[in-house]
Amino acid sequence: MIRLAYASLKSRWSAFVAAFLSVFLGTTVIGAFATLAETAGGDVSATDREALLVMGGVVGGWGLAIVLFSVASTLNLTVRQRATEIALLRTVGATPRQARRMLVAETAGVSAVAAALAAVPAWLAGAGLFAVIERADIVAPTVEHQAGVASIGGASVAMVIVSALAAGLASRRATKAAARTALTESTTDRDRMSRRRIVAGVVFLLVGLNYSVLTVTVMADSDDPYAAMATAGPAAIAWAIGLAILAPALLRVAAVLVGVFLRHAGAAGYLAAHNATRRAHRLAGVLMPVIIFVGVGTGTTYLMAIENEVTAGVATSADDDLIAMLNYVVVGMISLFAAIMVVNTTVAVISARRREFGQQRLTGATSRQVTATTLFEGGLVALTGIILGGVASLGTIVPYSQVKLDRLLPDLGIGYFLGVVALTLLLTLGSGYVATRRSLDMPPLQAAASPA
Amino acid sequence: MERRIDQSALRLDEVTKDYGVGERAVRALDGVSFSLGSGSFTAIMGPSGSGKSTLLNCAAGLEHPTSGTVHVGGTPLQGRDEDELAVFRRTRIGFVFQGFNLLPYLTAEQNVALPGRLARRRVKAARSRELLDNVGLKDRYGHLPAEMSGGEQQRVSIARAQVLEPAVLFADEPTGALDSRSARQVLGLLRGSVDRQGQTIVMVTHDPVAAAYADVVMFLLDGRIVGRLPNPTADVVATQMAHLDELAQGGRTSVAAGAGTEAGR
Repeated sequence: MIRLAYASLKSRWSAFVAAFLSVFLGTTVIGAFATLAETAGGDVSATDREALLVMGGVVGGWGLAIVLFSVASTLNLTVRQRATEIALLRTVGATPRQARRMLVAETAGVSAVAAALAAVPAWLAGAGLFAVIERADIVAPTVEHQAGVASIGGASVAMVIVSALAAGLASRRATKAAARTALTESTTDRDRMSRRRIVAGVVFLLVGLNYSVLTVTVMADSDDPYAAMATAGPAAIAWAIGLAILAPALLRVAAVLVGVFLRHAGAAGYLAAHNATRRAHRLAGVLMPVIIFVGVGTGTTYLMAIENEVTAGVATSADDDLIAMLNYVVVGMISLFAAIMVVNTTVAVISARRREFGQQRLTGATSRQVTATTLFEGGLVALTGIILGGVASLGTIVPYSQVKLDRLLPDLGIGYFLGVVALTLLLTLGSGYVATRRSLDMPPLQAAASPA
Repeated sequence: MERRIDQSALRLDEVTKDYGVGERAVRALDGVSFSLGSGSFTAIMGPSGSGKSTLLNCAAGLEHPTSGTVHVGGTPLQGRDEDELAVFRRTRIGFVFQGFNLLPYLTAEQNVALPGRLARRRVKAARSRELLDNVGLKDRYGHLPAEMSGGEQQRVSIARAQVLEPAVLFADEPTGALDSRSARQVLGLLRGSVDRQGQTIVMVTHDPVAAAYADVVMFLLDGRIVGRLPNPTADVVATQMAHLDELAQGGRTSVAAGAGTEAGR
């Protein structure tokens, strides 16, 4: 089974890269924050310990939520893409158990290598983060940065365990049906979202709502000027994760609405509308990181912009500036991770559609029509993600603006939001275009005969 | 409908196809020439590796020949790039493949009408339904491929291949993935479209029973046409297939039924 896993890995290059990258970058981000927690466990004063634990634990904790969610959904995607291959294996006699073991072994193997290689970048990122913290005088200059087995090793091991669990869950779904049904059904998935998934999505939305409400009700009266930020910041993250979990159903709704117009935009628009409606589950894999990117990016950008406006009139100390910079560094790290996940999943989803592109071309589609189809789909996903991410960001913006500026929306213009929108379109359409052109290199007949 | 045998629907002249370069080059097709009349049904047979699929791909504009020329309905294929070929193929050439190649997220009716959409030619709903009725799928208009049997999917792909009235319909092992009952249905449909609509069909197959549905069988060995058998029966085709070597050694001439002519022209 291990050798089979290795052979199957070689034939699945794009899925392999997607899984590898998500674990590698995820370990880097988590490892960096974990070093702060490890440093706090060393010989430091009580106030320094608390400051470091807040940074590493609270901020890093929400970063952790994003990373774990992204890694799990990427691995879920790469495993599900192989439903046909798994069905095929089962028709030649593999038991569901064997198929699951193969998937888990393969994912764990890739994750282990990726997590191990992430040790150095995690250490570097942690050291960089700590340098900013130290310069901001958040901790005493005597504190030494600790980045050892406990933090980086722990983060790596945790990532491998999470990856294996995610693969195990996804593969259970992939092997649930009878082998023969699995083979025919893998070409379409009209499957509804599981009840567990709906519950998980709703729970995250409630957590987000809770943070939004807490910001206005409890934290507004706090003496600590940063208290409101501590609940407003995570609010958008929780909202975004909740909406991302519910992405397949939300995308289907969007596809039906936009499809009314898209259907008239030539053959490419027609194909895009039908694919998005009937196979929303597949495209939703790309939508999830877009929601996270837009929601977290917009929410935290406006959070900091509001903060800047509040402190604008007041004379700020160098420390305040550095704290602002620290915020940028943290938000930048998480946004960069989310942005790479957008590209990562876009490429993985499109590369897995080579066979379908071959079929389209054999039916008479020119490569330009195939490219236009994926761009329409990418546009639909980006648009949906921008709207849903925008909604998620309001979970942070509205309560924080209410507390700090005493009005529902800050008077900051939509410039920042438009920036995030432009970046989102660039990421989804740019990577979609490149991945599609690359998939079209193979002659149509070969592509149509390649495994789905 | 009146048959027009005089005009050639497909003509190959000295078509050669090499894969790879230098010492590792493999010659898949070696100077193949033939001309097929409009409204004819031709089966191409040969052992694995004889060049059947390469021949079909070159004739259909899916692969570029290394040398030689291909004319479909009087129009030359050479000198066109991939997109020009795609545009040409979608209106002049129909395909039926072993693997059906239906788009999984379109219904039977939508799959049939798709070539029209891609070519920006309106296909009336009545037309795609009529084609589906012709292949016996009256009650399957709104079904997705995953909801149909292999035989039904193949019949949808036959309806799709004919929607724009192509000059030539190419079928590559169309019954390869079907049970014998579905296979007979599919072959009967292909035969019927030749007899009733004057459709020109070129079919690659390894099955003598399937080949017997054609007007003529051409035998391919090592990239050359080594024989030609008109009015084939399954038994004669099977016998001939078992003795292809002798046929090749005896020169590129007549075969079992005696009525064969030289393969070229």
